[in-house]
Amino acid sequence: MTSASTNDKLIEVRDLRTYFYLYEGIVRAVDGVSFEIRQGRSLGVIGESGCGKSVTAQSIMRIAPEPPARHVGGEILLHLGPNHNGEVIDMLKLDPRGERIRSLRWKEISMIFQEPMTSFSPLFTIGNQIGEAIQLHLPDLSKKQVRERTIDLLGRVGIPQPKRLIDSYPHQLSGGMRQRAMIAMALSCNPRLLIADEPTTALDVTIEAQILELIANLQQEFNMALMYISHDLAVVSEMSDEIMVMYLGLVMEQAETGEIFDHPLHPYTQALWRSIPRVEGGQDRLVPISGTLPSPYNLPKGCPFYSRCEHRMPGICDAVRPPMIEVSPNHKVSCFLYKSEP
Amino acid sequence: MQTSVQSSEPSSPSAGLSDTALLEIRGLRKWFPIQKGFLKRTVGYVRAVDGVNLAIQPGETLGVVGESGSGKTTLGRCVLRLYEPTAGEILLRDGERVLPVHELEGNALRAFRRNAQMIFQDPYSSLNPRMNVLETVGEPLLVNNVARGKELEDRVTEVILQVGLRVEHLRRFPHSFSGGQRQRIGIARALVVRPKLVVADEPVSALDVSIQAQILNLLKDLQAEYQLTYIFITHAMSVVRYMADRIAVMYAGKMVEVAGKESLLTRPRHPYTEALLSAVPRTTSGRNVKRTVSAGEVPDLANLPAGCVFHPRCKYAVDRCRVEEPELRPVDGQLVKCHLAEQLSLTGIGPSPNGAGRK
Repeated sequence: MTSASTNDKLIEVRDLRTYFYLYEGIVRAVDGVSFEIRQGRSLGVIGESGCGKSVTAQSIMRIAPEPPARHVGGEILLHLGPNHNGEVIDMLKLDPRGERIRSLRWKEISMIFQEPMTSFSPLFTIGNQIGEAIQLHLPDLSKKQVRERTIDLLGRVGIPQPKRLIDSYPHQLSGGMRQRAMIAMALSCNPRLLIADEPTTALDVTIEAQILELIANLQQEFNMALMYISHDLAVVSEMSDEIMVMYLGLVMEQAETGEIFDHPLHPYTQALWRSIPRVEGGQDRLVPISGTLPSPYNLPKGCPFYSRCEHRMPGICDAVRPPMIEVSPNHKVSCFLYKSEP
Repeated sequence: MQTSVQSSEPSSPSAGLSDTALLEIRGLRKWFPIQKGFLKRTVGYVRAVDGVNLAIQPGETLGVVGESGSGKTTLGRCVLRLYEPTAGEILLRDGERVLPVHELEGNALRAFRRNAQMIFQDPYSSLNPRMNVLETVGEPLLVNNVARGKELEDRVTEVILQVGLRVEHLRRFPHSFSGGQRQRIGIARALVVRPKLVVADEPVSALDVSIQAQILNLLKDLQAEYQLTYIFITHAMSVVRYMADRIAVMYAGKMVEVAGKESLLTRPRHPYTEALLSAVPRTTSGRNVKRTVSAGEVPDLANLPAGCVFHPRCKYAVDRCRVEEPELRPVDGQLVKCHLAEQLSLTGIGPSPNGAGRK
């Protein structure tokens, strides 16, 4: 880790390990993930299902279901900033149901999910639910002020006629509108980090474009940091300054967005790029990644991509985990093919 | 109106197929009645598909794109008579004959299904969990009286191998397969009767990115081997760019543009196509792209706007668009349903300057 400036760090994840203890065995969903996000910056996380990208996000929020999940190692350091005398909290040390973490969720870190229908309770109006979040964190506000703030928020996320829609129930809104309401709720207490876990996957392209634009604009307006999780390369590339590629609970490669698309280094990143159809065309034939995902109960000892890698080196790659090395400034890769910058 | 189709007697089609087309759709309409009250009176119609004309050539892949609610799935289902069309003609070439698909009944309808099959979106819900692979894939042969017993097993084995499954999979049940393998079972089930036409409704959108490539390549290989004709329904422009020869764009139950893939993507003629293309995220565009995203959402299909259905969201709309519905008409070799097609110069997706398919 060579980051020079430390004062604008917002969140630092070091060697995070979140395992699921199931009847069938132990799933190492996140197995040594490290990254950091600075104030106002955005990190995209790409990976196939089961790579641990959602569990990483849930670990930060401490909403991974415990049990069966257990955080067996690492730390998640949240830098509270100058308003709190630069206090640093390790999220993993907090009680997931305790007072402290509840004061941090929504206020410091909030999260939006893939399916907005399941994130809202069907029994309460949108205004009720957003208002509840505001009231919890800003108890001084009167009921009227809470309502005004909610209407203001709904208007800001582009919901037409917020005065009327504040009293509607989630099922009365379309998917795009529900996702906007979800974003309004997530932003209700001006968080400093927004985690977006595939928020547009269930939406149409035109609606998706509107939501992406909205998130990008709000991120600038509130100077929020953003962690954007998706399996869609194009969406992640539009939303992120930096991209992290995950595979089977590990970070394979991390670099700035343009760099990782133009010069992918890890064989997995390269294979992934070749296997995905692009709207720009120019692909005669897609090249699927050979082989299949290893069983999550029994991960290989060395590099997790070893069995599918076209550049594998027997005796080296299957013996130990390749360390994360910095090949060039801000371009890190976990592969024995590369040597760190001299 | 809704019974006009069923009442007509099966007869030889009034007009034959044009030249070479394998399938032709004329004035296809599917209106779902909205029923209210104790007596279930029909108070209106949802116009899911409203006057679609389309001709499909043998061996081609026609991509059908559009937002949800645009009617693309309903169109696909009407073509296979999984839905009863409200009005319109569907004609399929079967050797020397032309089948009037829209009025087939009983045995004739069953025989038609040997020519046309469907691949469904969700491989998790489209397979019966209590039937093993042999039963699932063999069922179309059985119900169509094509084969039984040993012959059935041989044909199933053959097609199973073709889609990349193995013989030992025959007696297994769907739960023991991954999403990609289940989709292979669905493809095998569609292809076992050797159809000419396959309607694939979002066949890869439920699959993981790395599995998508395998299934798309498989569909391409099978097409080359059996001269299949695909109607490929999807919302993913990147997938349609890889698969299709021609693309049809649907909006609110109507076909708004039909053209060859490259010309439609690089030089769209309809404002909706432009808006749709500009909404597609790209890996080459970087952060903070400027878009011509049209505000608003797909209109209520029970209560369509007058004139052109797209005019409330269209930034080029003029007075004429609000009152007069445009025809789908040829403009420079593309079919466009827009009054202004000649005047507008719209932007599409250029081929990536440095070659997106880089190694």
